[in-house]
Amino acid sequence: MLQTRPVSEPTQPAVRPRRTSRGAGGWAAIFVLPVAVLVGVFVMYPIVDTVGISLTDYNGLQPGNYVGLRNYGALLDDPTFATAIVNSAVIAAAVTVALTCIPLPLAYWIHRRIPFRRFFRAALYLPVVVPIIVSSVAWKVILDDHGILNYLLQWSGVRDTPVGWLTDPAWAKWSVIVVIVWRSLGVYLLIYLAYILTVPDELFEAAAVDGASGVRTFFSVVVPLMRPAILLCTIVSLANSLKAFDEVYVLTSGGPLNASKNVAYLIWETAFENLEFGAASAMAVVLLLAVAVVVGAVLLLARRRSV
Amino acid sequence: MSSPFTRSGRLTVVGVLTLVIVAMLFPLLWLVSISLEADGDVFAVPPQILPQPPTLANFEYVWGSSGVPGYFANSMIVAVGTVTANVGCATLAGYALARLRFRGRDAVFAAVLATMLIPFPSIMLSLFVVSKNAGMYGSLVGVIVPLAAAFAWLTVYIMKEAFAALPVELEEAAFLDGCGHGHTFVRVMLPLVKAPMATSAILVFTLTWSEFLWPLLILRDPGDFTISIGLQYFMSMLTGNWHNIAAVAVLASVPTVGVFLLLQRYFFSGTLTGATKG
Repeated sequence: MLQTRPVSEPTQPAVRPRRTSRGAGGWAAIFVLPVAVLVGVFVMYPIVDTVGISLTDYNGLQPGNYVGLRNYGALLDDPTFATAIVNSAVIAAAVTVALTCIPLPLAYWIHRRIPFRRFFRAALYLPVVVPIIVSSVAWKVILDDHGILNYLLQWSGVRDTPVGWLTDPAWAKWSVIVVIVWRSLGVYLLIYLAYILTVPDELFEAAAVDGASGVRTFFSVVVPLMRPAILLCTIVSLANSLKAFDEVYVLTSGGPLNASKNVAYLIWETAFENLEFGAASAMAVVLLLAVAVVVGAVLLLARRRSV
Repeated sequence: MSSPFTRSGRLTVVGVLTLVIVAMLFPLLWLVSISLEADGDVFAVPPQILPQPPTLANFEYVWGSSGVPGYFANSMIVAVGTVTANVGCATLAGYALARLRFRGRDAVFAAVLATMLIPFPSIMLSLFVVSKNAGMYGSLVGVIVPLAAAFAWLTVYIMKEAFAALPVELEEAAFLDGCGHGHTFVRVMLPLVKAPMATSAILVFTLTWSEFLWPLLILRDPGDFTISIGLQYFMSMLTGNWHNIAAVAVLASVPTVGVFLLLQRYFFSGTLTGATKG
C-alpha cells in the first residue's frame, strides 16, 4: 500500500517551522516583559517626561507651572547655550573624524598578522576598561601647566613658555577631545576588527598579488570593503561624542570661560547646580533631537551614495 | 597565510604601532609611577620618571585610613546587581526575540536597540525625578536599576544573536520529547549560551564599574559612594596630594583591568561580529 503513494508528493515539509513557535504567545510575553518594563520605564518614559518638564518652570523641588514654550524661547537668547552648541558640534566633529579614521589602519594591520598583534590589540583597548575618573587623574597631572607634557615641549625647544592645556580657553576643548579619543579608540578598533573577520582574506590578497602598494591597497581595497563598519563607527561616535559629559566634568568643568562647556555639561549644570529643571529639560530635548537629526542625516547620506 | 607585508613594510607598521602604543599607555604608566612614589613634587623639574625607591606606602595609607574599602564594596554591590538584573532580563528577551514568533517582535527588538542612540544627559533629569519618586534617591538600588536598563540594548543584542545561531533541531527534539517552552529554555537552550552570557556579564561589569554620571546624580551620602564617585570626592578633599590620589585611582582600576587582562578572549571573541552586518 505504501508504495502506491506517489513519491513526488511532499510529505508535509512545512511541519518544520523555521522559528519554533507552538503556543508561543504567552511565553513570549513572559520572556520579553522584564526587558520591556525596564527599558520602557527607565529609558522610554523619561523621554516623554522630559518633554513634559521642558514645558514647565519645575525647579526640582516644588511642582512646576506650565509655561508653554518659554524655556525654548529663552534658549534662543542664551549666549551660553549658543556657545555650548558650538562646542558640542566641534567636539563631536573632531572626535568622530579621529575615531573613524585612526583605528581603521590599526585594525587592518593587526588583522594582517603583524608580530605581537595580541599585545598591540590589548594595549590599544586597555584605556577603555580604565574608569574615566581614573584616567582623568593621569591626564590632569600630564596636562598641568607644570606637567610633563609642558616640560617635554620646553625641554625639546618646541615651546618657550608652558601651554595651558586645561586653563587656556584656546586649548581646553582640544584637550577634552584628545582624552575622549584616547579613551574610546579601543571600542572602534574592536568594531573594525569584528567586521574585518567577515571580509574574505582573498579580497585583500588579490590586491597584494596585483602588486598594489600598501597605501593604494588600503584606500582602494580596504576602505571600500569596510564601508559598513565605517558607517557604524561614524554613527556610534557621533551619538557618543554629542553626549560626552564625564571628560568635560573631570578635566575642565566646562571652563575656562565656558570654552569647553558642551550641551551635555550645560544640562547638568542648569539642572543640578542652578535647579532650573524646566530650562535644562528644554536643552535635553534639543540634544535628543540633534542626535536624531545628525544620525538620520548620516544614514540618508550613506544610502544615497551607495545607490 | 603568511604576513602580506614586506620586511621593511612590516618594520614601518610595527614602528608606527609602537609609537601609538606608547601614547596610549603612557598616561596609565605615569599614574602607576606616581602612586608608587613616597612623596615629592609630581611637577618637579626634571620629572621623576621612575620612583626611587618604589613604595607601597600610599596604597597602605589610602586603604587603611579612608572610605576606599567602603567605596569598593558599594561598587561591587552595584556591579553584581546590575549584571544580574541586566543579563537575566536580556537572556530571557534574547530567547523570545530569536526563537518565538509573536506580534511586534521586530518592533520590540528595534526599539530596544535604538536606545543605544539616546543620549543619557537627555533623559537623566526625568530619570532622577522618577527614581526619587520611587524612593531610590541615595540608594544603591537607585544606581542599579536605571543602569541595567541603560545597557539593555547591548546585551539583548548579544543574546538574541546567540540564540538565533543555535540549530532549530535542538528545540524540535526537545518538543518531540514533550518538553514545554520553559523546560526547553532552561534545560536545552541555556547551557548552550553560557559563553555569550559571560561576554554580556563581563561587558556590563566593566561599564557599570566605570560609570560616573548616574551615581554622581543619584547618590547622596559618602558612605554610599561607588569607587568612581569616591575617587572624585577624595580628590576634592585632598587637593594636590597626588601620590595618595593616584594610589586610589590605581586601586579603582584593578577590577576592570584585571577582568580585561584575564578574560580578554571574551572581549575579542567575535560575539560582537554580527554587530556590523547590514
